[in-house]
Amino acid sequence: MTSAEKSGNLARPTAEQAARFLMQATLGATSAEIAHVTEVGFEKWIDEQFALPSSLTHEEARRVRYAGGHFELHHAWWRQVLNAPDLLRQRLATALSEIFVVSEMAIEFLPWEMLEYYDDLARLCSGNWRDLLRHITLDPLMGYYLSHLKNRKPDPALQRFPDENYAREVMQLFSIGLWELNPDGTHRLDAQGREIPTYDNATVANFARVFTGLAFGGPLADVTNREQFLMDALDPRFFDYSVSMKMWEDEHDRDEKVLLRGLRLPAFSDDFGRKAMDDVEDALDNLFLHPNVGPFFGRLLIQRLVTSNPSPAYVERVTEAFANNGRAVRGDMRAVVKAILLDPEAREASPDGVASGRLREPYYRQVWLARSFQARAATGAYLVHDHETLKATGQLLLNSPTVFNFFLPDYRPPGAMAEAGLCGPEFQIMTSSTAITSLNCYMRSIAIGFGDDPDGPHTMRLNFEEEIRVAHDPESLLDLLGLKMAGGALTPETRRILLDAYREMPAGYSADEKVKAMAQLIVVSPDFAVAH
Amino acid sequence: MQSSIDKAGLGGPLLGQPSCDRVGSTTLYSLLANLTATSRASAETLAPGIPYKALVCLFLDGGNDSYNMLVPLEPEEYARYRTVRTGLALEKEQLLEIGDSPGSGRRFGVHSAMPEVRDLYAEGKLSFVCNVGTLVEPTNLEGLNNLTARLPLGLYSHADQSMHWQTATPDLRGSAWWGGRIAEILQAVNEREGVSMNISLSGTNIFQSGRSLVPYSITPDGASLLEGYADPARPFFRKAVDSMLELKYQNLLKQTYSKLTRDSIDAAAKFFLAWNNTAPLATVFPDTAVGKSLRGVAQGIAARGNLGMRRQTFFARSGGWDHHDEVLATQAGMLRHISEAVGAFWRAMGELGLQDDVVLFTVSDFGRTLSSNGRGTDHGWGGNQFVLGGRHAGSRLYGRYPDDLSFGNPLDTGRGRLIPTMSVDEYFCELALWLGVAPADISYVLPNVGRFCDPAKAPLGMFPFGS
Repeated sequence: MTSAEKSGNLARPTAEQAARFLMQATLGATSAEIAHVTEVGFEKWIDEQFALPSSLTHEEARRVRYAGGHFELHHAWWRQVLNAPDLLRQRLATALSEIFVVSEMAIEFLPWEMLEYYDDLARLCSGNWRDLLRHITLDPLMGYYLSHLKNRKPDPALQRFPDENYAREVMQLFSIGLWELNPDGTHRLDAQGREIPTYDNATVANFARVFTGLAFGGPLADVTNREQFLMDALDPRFFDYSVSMKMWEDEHDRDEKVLLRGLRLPAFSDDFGRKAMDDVEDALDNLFLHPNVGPFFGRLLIQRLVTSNPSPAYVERVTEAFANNGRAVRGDMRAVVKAILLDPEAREASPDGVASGRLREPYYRQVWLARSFQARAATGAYLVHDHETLKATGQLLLNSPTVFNFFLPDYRPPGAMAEAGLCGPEFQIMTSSTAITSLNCYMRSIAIGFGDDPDGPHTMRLNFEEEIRVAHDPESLLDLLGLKMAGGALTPETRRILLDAYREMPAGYSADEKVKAMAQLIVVSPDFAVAH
Repeated sequence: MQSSIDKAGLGGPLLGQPSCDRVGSTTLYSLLANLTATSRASAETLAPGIPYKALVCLFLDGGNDSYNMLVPLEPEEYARYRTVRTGLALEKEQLLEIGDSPGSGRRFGVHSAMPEVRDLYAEGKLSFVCNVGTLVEPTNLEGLNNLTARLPLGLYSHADQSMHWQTATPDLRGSAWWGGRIAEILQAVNEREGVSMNISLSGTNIFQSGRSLVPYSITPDGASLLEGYADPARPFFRKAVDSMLELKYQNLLKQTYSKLTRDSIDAAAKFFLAWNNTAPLATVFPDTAVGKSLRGVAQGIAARGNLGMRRQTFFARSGGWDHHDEVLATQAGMLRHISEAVGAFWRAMGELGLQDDVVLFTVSDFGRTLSSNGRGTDHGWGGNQFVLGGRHAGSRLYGRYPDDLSFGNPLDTGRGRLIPTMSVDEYFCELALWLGVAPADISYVLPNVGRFCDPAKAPLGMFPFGS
């Protein structure tokens, strides 16, 4: 609340302020949705959004799959994103899917289950961070992706050791990172001025032993049956990706484990009644209570939603919200999301600030066009050719090339930004090739819509009715497009250039052609590409 | 994005600072610097016949389990290999026999999924580089155990190790980029501006990036043009795009976006022309991801004349090597793809008459644990790579393939994670010298190289016939 009060003007934001807010908090906003925020204000809007249940995409995927459709994952997701009212949950789910990464690239043929994972993120984004971590840890999709599914206890005689994959990545990428952090996200230094690693390889090996004994937890799972633990065949009765993994006591390592900050989990022989899941819960607590989580996770989420280069003070305010939601609860995601979106640095940053904002993710610029302009097909289908979008933009929901996401949080584009010490993660996938192919992709969507056959009934066309009504008046047209495409208003210089272009368009252009030409120019402009 | 390099180029701040005190160097750049500063034409006149050369980096992203790509076959060594690798050991029938360097009499086996690689080795065109990895300084187990050894940051982590392989400065993060630094030095010998000498088939990568330089990124089908930009019916469109990209922004993200877009539009126009005026190669490449990438590299090399290139680097990434699980089956299929694509690439270089002028080399995040986790292997350290072409002394194993792979061997840091016995600096030094970087400039390209070897003498001796 304090940060909300400080940034002021929240009860009745202007349309431009509302549009800018929604560019951080949603995947695309219509004029009506912008108007609603001007009525209720930012914080009430967040409360309203969290009060909505998460709408489900995977049920649609299941329906489409059984109807024999292809690419069901992406079609169901598009239908969801273009229609569902829980805008904030969808936005957060996409952001979290880039932190707690699983990828279709490595997990083929499970589209329904992939979307279920996405839906879980949309549901858990308003709960507690520890529940989120627990859920993804026990999700068999994650277990498959980072190979702790059916991870076996060590066998010294056979020189076999537990798989270290999840153990390493849950620390490095999902929770605490490589270096000890101050609450403001800067690296802590030891007496000699050196950075302090959060863990070493022995810690990884110990966590790896914690994550042994987990396998498919479907309704027929028999956790006393060793053969079932090891079973390889894809029998759907046993290999249910929709149910959390279960623990096979006898396949779990029972020796002592030493985790972060010296925490010792006792050997089972020394702790009567200890169960394997006690190890897992203790290890999750060990991660959850590590002081790095607030600044580490907080910065990652700030980068996805607001800015690539948050100030240390901003990170620290989010860390405080993570540590305590005001009612002595640690890890309250609602408090974290509010702290991020209502912070003065998120609400008041100047578009001229040297370091403010973020390059908008190229895939979500395409999504933004579809959502803001309510793309629809005559048939009501959502047959977007998303794998073409992947080629063009270098990005696609749930299709990261590795668990390190599409780009690294600390990527510094060579040149002025690197010299100024600024990060720009999304620039890592803006290559000389995608710089052009992504623009072509957006311009084509504006011109003809999304889909295979430009004239076909399945093509989803953008709805420019509002714009066509004001197409005769360039000032009003650019006001409207600025609101819906540039998070508020176009910069005066861009506006001047577009007014010239409007005057120079061929005299015979129809209203539709005028609107589309202006929108196509805006997608090229930095005003559309960079959210400030 | 190259224009700043090109304009800063000769005498500008970028090359100016570090190269002032290296004017006496015999690097091609240094020879040409003053000449090209005056005019490109004089450089061409004065440096006729600088032959074309290209380095092709094939990055096996994720950490290739390379102790199953190259396996010892001498009976005792093989027996120890079997013991340490347990269920992951390859049978002798799954290996294609090769000999070690002449005289040693030690036999090895190449994974049977790689017949093209074995054949090229047998023909003297390909070699392996053994147990190479990222090192801050020469390192042994004693130093590791008593904590005196300085170790690469983030040892065993993908992000860090793949970065260190590309920067060759594992004691720093994101400080230097060896392919990018090569370009800062060698770009000047190329005849035209506008397209970087560093071309990537796999997008942005650290290896080819310099302080203000990113690689020119293409797809296997070349470069795309901005649609509608050159449409004569819409002059307003081009004018507005040009005006918007000309604006100066205080906000550095907008400025960077604007500059990248501008440079991409300009470079694409040049590249598109050069590529389209080049006859398509007749060599057929396999229809796999890596096959397509190497076809793109080969076609890019074919376009060298139209692009005015004399020195180039290419980068192609092959993903999915992080075999914590199912290593045997999956890796075999992927090694097959690599071998087939490399075989086709070699034939394409034959078609262009460039087999002696192009070197393809592999890199990977790290080797993997020799021990199994039951189904796969975990992140390790030293590993094996291969080098093809460039008239190197082939059919050899460079560096030292460990005599003993058993647990507890003198290189084993635990679970069969092997301390590298060759640093990436030595490996890359050899390649950079071949491409034309002068010994005096090597420490600029590879800042730590002096800790491992004297760059004046090529550390591996791969190119005894001169480079």
